[in-house]
Amino acid sequence: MDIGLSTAQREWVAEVREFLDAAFGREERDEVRRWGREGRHTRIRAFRNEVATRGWLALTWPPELGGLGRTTVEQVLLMDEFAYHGAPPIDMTAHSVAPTILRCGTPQEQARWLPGIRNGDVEFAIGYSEPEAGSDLANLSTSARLDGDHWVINGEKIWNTGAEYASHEWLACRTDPELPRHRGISLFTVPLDAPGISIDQLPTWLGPNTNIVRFSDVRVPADSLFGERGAGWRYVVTALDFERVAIGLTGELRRLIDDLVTAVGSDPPPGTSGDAALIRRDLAELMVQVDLARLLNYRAAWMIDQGLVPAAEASMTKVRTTELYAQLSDAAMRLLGPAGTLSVSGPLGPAGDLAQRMYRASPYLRFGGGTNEIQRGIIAQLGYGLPRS
Amino acid sequence: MEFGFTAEQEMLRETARRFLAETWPTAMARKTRLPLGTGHSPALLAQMAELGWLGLALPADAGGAGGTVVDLLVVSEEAGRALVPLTLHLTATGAAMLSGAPGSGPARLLLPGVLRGDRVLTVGARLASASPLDGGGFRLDGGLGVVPYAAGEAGHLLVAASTDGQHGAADVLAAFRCDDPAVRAEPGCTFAGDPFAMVTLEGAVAGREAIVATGKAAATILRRCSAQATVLLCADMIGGAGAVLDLTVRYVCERVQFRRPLGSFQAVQHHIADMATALDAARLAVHQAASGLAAGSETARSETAREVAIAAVACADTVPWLTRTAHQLHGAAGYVTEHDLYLWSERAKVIETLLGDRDDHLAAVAAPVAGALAPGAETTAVRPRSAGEDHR
Repeated sequence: MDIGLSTAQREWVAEVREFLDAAFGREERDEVRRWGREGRHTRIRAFRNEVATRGWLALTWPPELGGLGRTTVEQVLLMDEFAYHGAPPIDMTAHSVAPTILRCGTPQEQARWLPGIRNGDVEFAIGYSEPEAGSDLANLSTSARLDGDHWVINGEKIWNTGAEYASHEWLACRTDPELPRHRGISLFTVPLDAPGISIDQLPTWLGPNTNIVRFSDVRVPADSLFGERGAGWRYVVTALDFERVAIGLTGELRRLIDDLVTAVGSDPPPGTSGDAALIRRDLAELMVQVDLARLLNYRAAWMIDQGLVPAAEASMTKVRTTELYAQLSDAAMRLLGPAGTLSVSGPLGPAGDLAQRMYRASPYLRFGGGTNEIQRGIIAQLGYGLPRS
Repeated sequence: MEFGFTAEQEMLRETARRFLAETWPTAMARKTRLPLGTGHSPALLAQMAELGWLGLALPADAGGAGGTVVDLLVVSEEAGRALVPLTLHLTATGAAMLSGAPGSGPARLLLPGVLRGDRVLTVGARLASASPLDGGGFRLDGGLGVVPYAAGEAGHLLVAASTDGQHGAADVLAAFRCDDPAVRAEPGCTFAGDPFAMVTLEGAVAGREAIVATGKAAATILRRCSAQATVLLCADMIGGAGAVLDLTVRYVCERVQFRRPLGSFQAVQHHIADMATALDAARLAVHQAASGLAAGSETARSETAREVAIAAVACADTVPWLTRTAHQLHGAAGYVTEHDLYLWSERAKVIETLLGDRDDHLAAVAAPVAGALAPGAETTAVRPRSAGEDHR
């Protein structure tokens, strides 16, 4: 056991930082500030291309499939640095869908999808939730019916973030309504420009839009079915485990603490006590929590590298980090006082912006990717064998 | 001990809730936020003045109804529920300060307009430093921190100052026009769309006509009004939290997942129970502080100061947390901006920062035991004092 970073891992972090210092400069920051990290404007697009050119969207794949053969821990270290720098994140396609294709797809499917994901041309929007299938995801009713050598898809997906710019939909459909709920679900890859798809944007509190995507007699070829018919639930759950590890990243939390030290360090913001001893204690308490969250996150990534399935452990990192987003953003806004509520480029600089962003992000992180209540159920049931009600 | 409101106060609440539901739906609150609006509605303020809300706690000889802070609290709770612009609160606070010196120039000049609902006041958060001028009056300097509406809709700004510098005790209370060139207001906007400015006074001259009070009178007015303002901001948060809890209860009863209403799940019920309990506790703390202020007993003064601090800590801890829990129970349905929930989440956070520093409130709560915990320790002022800090 040696939980610290190895020399190679430290060098890797340094390499990522060096890249970010060069590629994520003032203009990129301005664009992120204006359009959000999830935007797809000129500079952000160029930044993402550069990330793809380095092969960093295929970081953990084996070299024979075009990857760099690095570990999931190294991927998490990279994503942490991106988050710390406020850079556009590695998207769900790279960190959740691609590993699922690697783990569950046939060689043909891997050959079909991985090159496009690697160079950034293929980006999936995740089509799981529906108006009547949220926490109860297995209740989904979007149907795919085989008609000759085509599937015909009908239904409605909601909270479909990224659908307005993604190339494809990673779509969970019901193919066998007569089977038990979890066994009647299959997974499809559907180009978002297929006839019969309509997308309506829904603005969210954080800023970026999410979408309602409607499928009306959308015909796709038979090979749009991913993996095995009826195994869709397993693929969804696999991708969700990867996603929860990504939600559990702690780079942004570390960043806020550093920004807070800068903002409250010299002159106390107006309307705050400015008592250095109390501030130091508050920050120390938070630093303890951030370190615990970081350990849970790295542990889950390490399990993936060991070929283990971090089911309860992925839920633990997701719950712990997202609860800490709430706690830390509250503490930050308290330490910054009224001036910290002033919008973009307020007098307190980056700390105020980041505290507000995290205050708004924390609800979404706590319910997104499976609510924390559902995660606690997973931890108790999968981790400790408690009975399902 | 009496936890209930009077029949008149219940009627006031009913009237306020009905009036605001009709006049001020959330669509109006949305349109009023920056950058779409100015953060203020002159028409609404005029109507509220007509209903007598601005004069509720002013003495009869100042044109008011002679009520107490508990009457104002009823209105503040409803204002928070309905997302009424903060100009109501600020103007009422300014008016309370003016009515403490009814004969003063600013009171005579400004109170009639306040009662008509066509004057908007705001109040500086920090003390300025005051230097006496030859021939009477003072020159005021110093940063006032974040002052709501000072670069926007407010016509006049009330400032407390100390002739002993920004770390001293308040002994001057003066009113300035917000467009006075010596009032340097850097306009800003909170993330909830309120026009808050960073204000600095640079040689602001308060002639005799601009002085509300000096000496002990100024300190007394400031102490009472700051405590009252804190309690009424708390009441605003409590009203908003009540609206949020109602929305949430409705949603979890209607929303069906796993073939049952969400509200039938134990995890969901526990959240609702925790929200309800914490809200009741915080509301009771606010009511306790308000009734203490209304009684106005000089012998119970330090007890009341503690109660105000307890209310502030309770609201700061409870209300933003409660809105976040409401988000958790709504999931994505409450996260799209077409849903109203985020309006209260943002307001709660902005008002929390206006309550003052939590550490200062905790120090006030611990004041009776401070000597026992650190015998002989002297507290030293290391920073500009907050206006009204000495009420603690």
